[in-house]
Amino acid sequence: MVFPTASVLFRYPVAIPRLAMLSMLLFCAGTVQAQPVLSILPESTGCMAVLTSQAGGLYRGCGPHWRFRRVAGAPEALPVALTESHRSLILGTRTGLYQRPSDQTGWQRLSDQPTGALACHGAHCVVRFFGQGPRRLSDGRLSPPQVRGLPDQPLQQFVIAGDGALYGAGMGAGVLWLKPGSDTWQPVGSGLGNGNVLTLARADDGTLHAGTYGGGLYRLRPGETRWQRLSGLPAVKVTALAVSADGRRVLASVGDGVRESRDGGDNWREVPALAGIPVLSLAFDGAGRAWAGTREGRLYRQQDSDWMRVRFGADLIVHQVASVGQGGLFVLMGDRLYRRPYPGAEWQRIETPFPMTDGSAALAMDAAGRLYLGSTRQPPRRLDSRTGEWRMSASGWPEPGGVRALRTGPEGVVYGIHADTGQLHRLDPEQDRWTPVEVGEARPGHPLWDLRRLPGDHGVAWGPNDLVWQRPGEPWGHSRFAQLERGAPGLDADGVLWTRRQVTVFSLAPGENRWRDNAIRHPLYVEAVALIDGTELALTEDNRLVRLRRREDGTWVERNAYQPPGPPPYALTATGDRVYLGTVDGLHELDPVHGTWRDITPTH
Amino acid sequence: MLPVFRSLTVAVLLAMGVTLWWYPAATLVMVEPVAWGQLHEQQYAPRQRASPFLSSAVIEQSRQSRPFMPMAEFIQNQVGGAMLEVEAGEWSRDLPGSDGDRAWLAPDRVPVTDPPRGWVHLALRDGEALDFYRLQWVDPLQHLGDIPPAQAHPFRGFPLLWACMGIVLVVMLALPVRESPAQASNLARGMRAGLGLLFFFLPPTLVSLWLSQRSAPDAVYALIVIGGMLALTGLVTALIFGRQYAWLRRLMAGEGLLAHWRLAPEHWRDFVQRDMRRSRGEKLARLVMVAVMAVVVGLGFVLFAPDRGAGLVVAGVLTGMVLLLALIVLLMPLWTRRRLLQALPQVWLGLEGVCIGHQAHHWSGLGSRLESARLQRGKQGRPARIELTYSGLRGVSSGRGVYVYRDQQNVVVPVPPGKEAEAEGVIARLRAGKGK
Repeated sequence: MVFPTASVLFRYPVAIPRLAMLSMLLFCAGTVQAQPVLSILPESTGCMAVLTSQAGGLYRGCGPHWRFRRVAGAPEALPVALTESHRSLILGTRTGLYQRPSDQTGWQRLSDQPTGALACHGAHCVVRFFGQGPRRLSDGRLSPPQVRGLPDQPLQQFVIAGDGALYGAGMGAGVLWLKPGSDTWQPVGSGLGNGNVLTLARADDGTLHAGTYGGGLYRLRPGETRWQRLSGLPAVKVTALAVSADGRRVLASVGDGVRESRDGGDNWREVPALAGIPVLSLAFDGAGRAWAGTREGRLYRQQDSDWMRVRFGADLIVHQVASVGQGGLFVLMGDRLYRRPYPGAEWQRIETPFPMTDGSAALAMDAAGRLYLGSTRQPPRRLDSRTGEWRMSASGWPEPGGVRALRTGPEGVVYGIHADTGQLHRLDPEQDRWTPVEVGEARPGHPLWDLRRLPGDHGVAWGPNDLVWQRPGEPWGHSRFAQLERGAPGLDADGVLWTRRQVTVFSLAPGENRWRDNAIRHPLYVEAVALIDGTELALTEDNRLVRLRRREDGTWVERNAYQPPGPPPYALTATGDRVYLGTVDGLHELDPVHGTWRDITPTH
Repeated sequence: MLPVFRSLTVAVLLAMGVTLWWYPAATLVMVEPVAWGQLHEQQYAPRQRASPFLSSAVIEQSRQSRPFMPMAEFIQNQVGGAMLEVEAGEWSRDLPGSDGDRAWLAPDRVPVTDPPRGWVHLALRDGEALDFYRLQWVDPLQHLGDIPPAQAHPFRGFPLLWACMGIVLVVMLALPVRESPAQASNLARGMRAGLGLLFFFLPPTLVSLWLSQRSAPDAVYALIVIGGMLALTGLVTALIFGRQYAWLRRLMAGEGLLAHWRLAPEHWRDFVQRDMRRSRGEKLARLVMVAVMAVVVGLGFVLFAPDRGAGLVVAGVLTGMVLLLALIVLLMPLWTRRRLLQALPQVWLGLEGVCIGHQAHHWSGLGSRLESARLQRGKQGRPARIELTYSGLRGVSSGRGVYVYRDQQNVVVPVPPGKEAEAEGVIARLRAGKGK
């Protein structure tokens, strides 16, 4: 993430750079990025905790299926390090240090300092806040910084021995240690030819391994005083390191792959399954299985002698979900498409006509239950339910060009927004043909971003400067708004449409065609699906899910509210009386009686 | 040796000396050690420093929104994925230590063949150890204050060159010069001064023009403008005085000569003394006039200016100006007297001008003319003298334009005893020439 430096703004009045900076912050905050895996922690419970670099990016999964889910209630701060002490998770973030005992769900804040490094062994912990020296952490209390003998370069890696001896290492700092009872840091051994230590590991027998930047891997066995460079590994940068409890198995990430040693580091071989993959974190779990986390946010697990990818992080994000018939479902999750023909059936993975790795794929279901799939580079295609083949969808789609958004709009009609022109197209169900929606000046040059169905079969589509809307039984209308906020317009309980333009809010009352500058009313419903009982299930702009009933006067009243089972953004669909909600963690089905959610995420 | 040759040689030598002493190296490589550990720490450690526009809270908020990167990722992100690994060798002997200051290397000492525009990140391998540096190819003109002088200005490293130039300069200044009366005149000196100005400022101006093709700082452009203007001034001065000097040489060779008188030493000294008093008197009169005006204007400013402080400043400046003028009025006649006493006690009188000792007056230039000429016979046994008045056009620029006025000069020409009749004839010729 790149921020503008203040220096380029020096010439302008005070207010302008402040606004520019805040706008950039808001823009960056909404950007979806890869979640590099910072650390993999084998918990004493047998489960694995995985920490990514995004806010709230703490995941947890347990065997044997290893279904990783985001840890609910984790601090919404940017994580740095994770460790465990006496069955308590300790999480270091950019804005503080947190602890969560295993028998509790809430996190306790131990400090508001930005955490730089963290390590525990049993009850002994060490934490280093950025800009400070390392401090011991015991029973949630921090000792004063230990500063004697510290090098000029900060220590960034810590390891604690069972006797409380503390080892520290850092780029340009080498490896130092603090003996139990001592207050002075001292170098560990001699002969460490490269002091740029990136990673440090200690086996149960006391053997130390130090991975360096450009110097390969060094080993110091108990009783020895001189580091030995492990010549079986080239003098490359070792960015991650894992040593099994017995010290025999050593995994080292060398930037573009992983090397493995099964004899304590004397002989090495490449791990073919991870060749060319930038691995940032490695770990052995309690059963001796190796784990690897990558810069792209992928997680791998060793099963016997093979490595397999674990569904995790971005793989679990449900981008879109569509329902058909009585409980049939299609779900676009990660870069895969799944189908479940009926409730309770096994998920089937559907081969797609193009790879969906760029995250731009979109799907929609028409009233006849036919599935459409496209992406920004691929025009919409239709799935032949009999043969299972993908064919070009109905005629009339302007080629070349993919689809920016594909949605089921009002009256179950499928709409697509052309990726290049931004023009809205309607799939005419009678003629089976795509036709451009003529809405005022919303033609090429006035692109649209997305489309939503709102309660009462209202439709709305919007772009940077245009808003088009449809009331039930009416043609699409169009209004130009310069610099519309990049968010979905909404409908309030009185059937009034609302949109935001920077700090101004406009409303369009039922029966009127003129937008008015107005003070906003809440709640706003930004997406809705119709249920079989005539009610509607709507998402509010503050990410609540509510069931709406329409009154005689055309206004809406909230009957039930449901707490979504995971973080937004959400993908909503319903068929009959079944409601499905996709989150960043997977797919969930609503139990309408109890208001609870059941996890039905595909696992393979 | 000709005086003009000496003047030109000295000017060129001095100009070359100054230019070469300052001339910057073409390109240098700026080398800085990189402490990745500290940079990583600075990236994430909280700062309290506020900016002029953004409060420290806003800055901290933006910093806290940066996701954490492990060290290797941080380095990769900072170097843009490109870190050049180079073996240590002879070339790296002068590099600073990991905690040292930046160093500057000649480009041919750095083992990078294709210098990029931005920074080059370099890992210097010495066995198993790696030290990190970042290099940038820079124009020393942009960093003259930072680079050690011996590296920024390569010509300073040639002592033989400076010795040779010094010897030539000393020889030039020490060699005796025999000046003819024309060469010793004020016109010849003016011409030599103009040429000196031209040849002193022309080389650095041309060099600055050459350097302006590089990423030159503002000082180079300033030097082009100021040096160019001074060189042009020297050229114009040399042309004006050169033309008058040519006239003087013709006059002394007998062309257009009306009279050539040699004065007795005691007569010459008496004339010089009286001329000094006359000249001082004239200048004092002008000084008094200027001083009165300055006092009136200064008092006006002090009494009536809305800003009393500014009024006092104006009055102070005016006072200083009057004091400076007074100093000139006192010293200039003394200087003229000294020069005249050193000159040959001779007078060359022609239709276009007169030369008294070293002091020549020319009234045949553009806009100049002889206003009057008369013979003043000596009283009480004193020698006669010719009183000449000539004028020239002068211009004064103001905010609205250039005002041209006529400035009169009075010249007294001593007449040797017994030459009064010849002097009358000369005056008649001058008056006749003036009437043409």
